[in-house]
Amino acid sequence: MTASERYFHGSYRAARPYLFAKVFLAMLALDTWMLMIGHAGRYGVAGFNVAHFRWLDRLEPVPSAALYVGVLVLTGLLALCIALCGLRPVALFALFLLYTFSWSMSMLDSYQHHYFLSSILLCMLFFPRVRGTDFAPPPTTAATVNERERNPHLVSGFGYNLLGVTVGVLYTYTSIAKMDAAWCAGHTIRRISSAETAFAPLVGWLVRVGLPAERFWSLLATSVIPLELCVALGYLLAVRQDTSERRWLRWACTLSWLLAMTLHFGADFMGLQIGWFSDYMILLACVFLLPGRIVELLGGLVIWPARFAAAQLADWHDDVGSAEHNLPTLGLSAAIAVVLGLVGRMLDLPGAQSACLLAAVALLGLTTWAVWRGRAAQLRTLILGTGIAVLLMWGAFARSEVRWDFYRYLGGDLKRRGQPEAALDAYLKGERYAPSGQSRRDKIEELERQLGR
Amino acid sequence: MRGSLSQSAELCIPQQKTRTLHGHRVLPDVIDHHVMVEPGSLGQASAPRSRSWANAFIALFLAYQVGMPLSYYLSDRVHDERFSWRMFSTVRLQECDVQVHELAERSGTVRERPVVVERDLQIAWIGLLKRLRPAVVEKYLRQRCERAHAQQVTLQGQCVNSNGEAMPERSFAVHCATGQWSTDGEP
Repeated sequence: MTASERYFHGSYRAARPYLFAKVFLAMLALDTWMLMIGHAGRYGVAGFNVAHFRWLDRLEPVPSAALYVGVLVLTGLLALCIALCGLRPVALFALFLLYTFSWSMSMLDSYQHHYFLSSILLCMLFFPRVRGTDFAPPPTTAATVNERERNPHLVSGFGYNLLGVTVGVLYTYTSIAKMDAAWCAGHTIRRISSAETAFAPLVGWLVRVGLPAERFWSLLATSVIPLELCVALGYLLAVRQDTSERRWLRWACTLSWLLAMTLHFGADFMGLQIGWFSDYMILLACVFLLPGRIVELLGGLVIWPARFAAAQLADWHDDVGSAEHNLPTLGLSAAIAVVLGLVGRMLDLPGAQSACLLAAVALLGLTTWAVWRGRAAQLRTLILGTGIAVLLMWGAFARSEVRWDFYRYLGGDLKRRGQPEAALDAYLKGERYAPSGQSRRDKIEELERQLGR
Repeated sequence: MRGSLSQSAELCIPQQKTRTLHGHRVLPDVIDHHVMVEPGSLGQASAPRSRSWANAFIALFLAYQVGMPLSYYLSDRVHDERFSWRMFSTVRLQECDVQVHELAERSGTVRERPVVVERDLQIAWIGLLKRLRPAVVEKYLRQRCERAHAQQVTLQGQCVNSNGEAMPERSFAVHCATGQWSTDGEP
């Protein structure tokens, strides 16, 4: 093995990829449902679109709002199913394709972190398949905490190592991007955020003790450059921290974690409008940079609900392979397919019902195939996982303001482009989901007057 | 021997000198290779042949991750920061005012007329036009050629940097009959 092979094929604690995959996929599902769908009304307007890649422009010249919503609903469902039922390369590859299509179909989605999430999904294809019990055995197991610490459960799979390097590359470039006069003078950081308000008391005090405000902003902005470079280095080292004997390496990783936290909580404190990017980066920092023992503890928290559910369903899983349970499995699959259809209708967004029906057909098709091959019992986890994912999806839509965002943005745009009738329809639909105090009643009345109603 | 190895992974551990990991004695090869992974994981490339494929993938993936942002710095596509990890860059903060004009024939005379972009595009696209994203500008100007039967469509953009400094004016044009695209007067 060469040095680079030892680096990329080296092993690490099983809890790291496990924790990352579970939390990341759940976040991705919520991100697609609760944030991305809100902007779907922009798609397909006036027949204009530019995809991120020219070949995609020829394939799908003008994606509609329904297509965008449908792709995102399916992406979220698939992500949550994988999070609940375990990593399967085929499912992960399908998720990678769906998610990548969701942002690349149009430059309307130009968030760089969506491209980054696609890179993560591609790396995850090469993650090892780890079970929670591998690194956090049930409490009845005789192994003590000390024994487990002496024999940390290591796994290998180059996807994790590759992801660490990719994150290092990202931080390096974000640092390079800030190496210009305007950033270093502090103009940019004051404009992109509410930093001036957030730091006002500190700046006031510094001015009183003799440090000019301009100097403070320049120092703050410039300090981000070495900070990001240090975090980048931390990720490159982190890949080896579980197998290296070098104590300084683990200390360097912990220090990088502190710097990453400072950077991303600082970004949140300054009110940067970057969606969930900071949250994804915080997750990455916790998984890659924290000491293995802490990651295993965090992983243990994640598997607790799964362990509870498995204990409740133990009897049901005991008869795996029993042909007499084919019918109940088919029945359960059919029931969840019906729930999918109903939830799709209740989502009340263009494209949502078609996506849910497609998912229902896929689930039924897979179950029928499994029954035919005598493998129905093996699908039970997937069927139950899909059921839970559908209910969580409904919860995410019901709890968030995504439908309100969708209809009010759509109404506003239609009104601006001189389509009062369609704008009125959108606003009226949006009123059902308007949070308290944010009604658009005034706009509705204005449009009704304009239309003579 | 380490206790968490799976049966399949426990095979063929040679007699070697031990070394310490986190203060505990372990076999060197155990650390790097003999670890537990469920069968079927794509990332587990222990056989030399599959490791070669994995290495090729790693090399390609990293070349793309490093090369894509690098191509931004080596090219002149200043206003297209996609895939280059330029979070919070100063280019993103430039404020640009854009004007679109087209040359069209009316009653036998060729005249220049302003284009009301707001009538054609959703507001998010106008935002991208104002950021002078070349692909968006080009597609919109070409669409105007088709829709308005113009002879030439031009977009002029005047940007101000984040420190209030005015940037040089940019211009983009499409000659509708030939389809020729030019930036700042150069094809």
